Amino acid sequence: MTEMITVKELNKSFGEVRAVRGISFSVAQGEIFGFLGPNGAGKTTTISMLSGLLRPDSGSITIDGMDMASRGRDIRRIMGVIPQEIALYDELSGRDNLLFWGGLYGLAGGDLRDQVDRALELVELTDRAKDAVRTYSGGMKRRINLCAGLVHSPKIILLDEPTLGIDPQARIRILEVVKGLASEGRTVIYTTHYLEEAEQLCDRIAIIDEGTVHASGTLAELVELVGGKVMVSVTGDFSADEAKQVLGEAEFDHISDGELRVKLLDRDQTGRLLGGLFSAGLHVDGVAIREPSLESVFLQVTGRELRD
Amino acid sequence: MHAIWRIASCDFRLTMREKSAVLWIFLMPLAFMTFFGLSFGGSSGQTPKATLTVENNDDGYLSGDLISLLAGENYYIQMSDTLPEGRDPVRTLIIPERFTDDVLGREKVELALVRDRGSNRNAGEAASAAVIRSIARLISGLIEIENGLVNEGSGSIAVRGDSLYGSLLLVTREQPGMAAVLEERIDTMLVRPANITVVSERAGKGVEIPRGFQSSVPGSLVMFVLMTMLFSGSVLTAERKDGVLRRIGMSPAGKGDVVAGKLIGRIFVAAAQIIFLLAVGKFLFRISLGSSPGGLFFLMLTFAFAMGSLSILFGAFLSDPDQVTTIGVITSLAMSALGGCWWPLEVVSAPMRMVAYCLPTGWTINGIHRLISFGMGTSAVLPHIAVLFLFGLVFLVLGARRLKWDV
Repeated sequence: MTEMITVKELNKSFGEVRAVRGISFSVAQGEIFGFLGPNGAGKTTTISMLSGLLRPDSGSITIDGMDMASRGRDIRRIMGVIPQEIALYDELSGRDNLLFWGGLYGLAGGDLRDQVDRALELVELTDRAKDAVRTYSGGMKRRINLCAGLVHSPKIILLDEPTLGIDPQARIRILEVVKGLASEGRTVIYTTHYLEEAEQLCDRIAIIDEGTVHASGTLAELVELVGGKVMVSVTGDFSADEAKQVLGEAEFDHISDGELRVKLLDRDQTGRLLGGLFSAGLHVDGVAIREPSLESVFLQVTGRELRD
Repeated sequence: MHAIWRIASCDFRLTMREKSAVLWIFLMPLAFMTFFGLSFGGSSGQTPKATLTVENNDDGYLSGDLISLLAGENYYIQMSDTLPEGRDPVRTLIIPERFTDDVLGREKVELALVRDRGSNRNAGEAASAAVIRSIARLISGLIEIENGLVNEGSGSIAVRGDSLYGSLLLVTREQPGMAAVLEERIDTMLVRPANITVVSERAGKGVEIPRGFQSSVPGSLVMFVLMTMLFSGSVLTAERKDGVLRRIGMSPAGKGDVVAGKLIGRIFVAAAQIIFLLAVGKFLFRISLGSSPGGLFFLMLTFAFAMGSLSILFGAFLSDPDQVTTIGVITSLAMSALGGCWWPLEVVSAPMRMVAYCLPTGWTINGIHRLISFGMGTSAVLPHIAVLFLFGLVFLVLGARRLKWDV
């Protein structure tokens, strides 16, 4: 497959804060590449650099064979960006907003009108096209916000948490649209902090935290990183040494006073693990079992849960 | 260019859709023009009539003649005994007792012109001059009558050697029936056209003071174009806050396109406002637009460019729309007052005039009056246009350099 986006050793700091630290990745044409990470992980900063809004401190971005440093404007012409916030003119109608955003990308006349109609159909807002955006529901605003980045039929689409704070129905509609775009051969970069979105939608996922990509690959490849094992977390009134003495042969992911995480081949082994702790007289407060998933991968590679 | 046009036309449409903006752009200036125009003398272009209160203690006819002459001097005469209760006279002419007899008897008479402390000094001096003119006409009439009687050989008044003996008072006393004749002769003489008319004109370039609507229309025009431009700076900060500016920054439009589009959109709004207010000035308030309305329009557009650039600077430096509005109000009021939008610059002190010429408003007001009040052509305001353009260029460069896409 043709490589559409190549990013090498990207760095960006704001004063003392290093927002992005040496990120590298590549995305093929027609692929949906997800950035999964909590708020403040560096996703939006990366999107801002990919869209040419921010200049990296170091590193390079090549998109469709063009270097961002020298051909930023040409790159922006073939790129559609859907920002996290509803960045629209509230007082204008949905149609007028799309006419404006399409116009900014050089569309005009009948071509612009046709593209606007097509985009409105895509997100099922043709009926409300003449109403002011301020009268739309949250989900409709999200959809028209998505539309504004697609009206010029971009080859590359950057979506920065496009489903933030909307109802499940609207979210499903947006995810369907994104899948449809990829099936048309468009390249998509999708940032999210929803694990299930990344699992459902993305062909490949990069786990990002504190400005660093900790792991990347397909969902299967990432799950393989945790060895396809069940992760059992136990909290209670015990010391790390006591726990180690009892569970000496176990594969620890983490152990400290009052908390431990152990990898097991299957969940049936959990009973034996807890039995060992109880028979040694250790007090257990809580037990959590995680099947191999993106969540357990995130936990393993970043050392914390995504919702922390 | 395509992106500039899109941004400009979008901004123009958004402004024109807003009801409050239309109120401030088109309707409030009309209210200000009317209020200040009427306060500073309306549209007559003539000196407004002042009121002169007369306290007449004389019971003769000459005081009545004097009062008639004063009434012809563009004054409303208000007799002190008919002054409405609670209303204090601004300036009062006191005619003493026995005024008629003393004047006819060639005795010294003292008239007092008393003016209130708060009254206009210039108007007081004009009243004093009017009283002197009226007395001069009255006295010259009496001298003419005296000459006539001397020539007729009246015994009660005659010239002996170089001196005049007797008086008109003596004539009325010694010749019964002459009082009525004299009164009639004086009345006839006073309504006769003046034999000599003195016309005074200024030598060289005089300082005309625009008044009435000729002053209020340009003042309000400049002030409200200034307000329209400065308040539009809040749009930039609001768009940055909402993420719209960031999204534009991710499009092929560069920073230069955004700044140019925003500025041109504002100038469109200002152009509509200028055309509307000048048309209102000409057709509703009947002011003169001078011999080069095109030059006037161009001067105002340059002013709009300068203030639009200042609004970009505000929008670039400030992060909150409310901050821009607050600073916009303070700046526009200060620049309007100091720049001569509220009162003619010709009536302020020299240092304040210097301050006015440090401001774009001062240059604009002066340029407008050169065109519409002092009869000059476009070439007379070319320096003004150049200065305003420079103001705009400096603001624009500073604003564009500082403009950020994100909060």
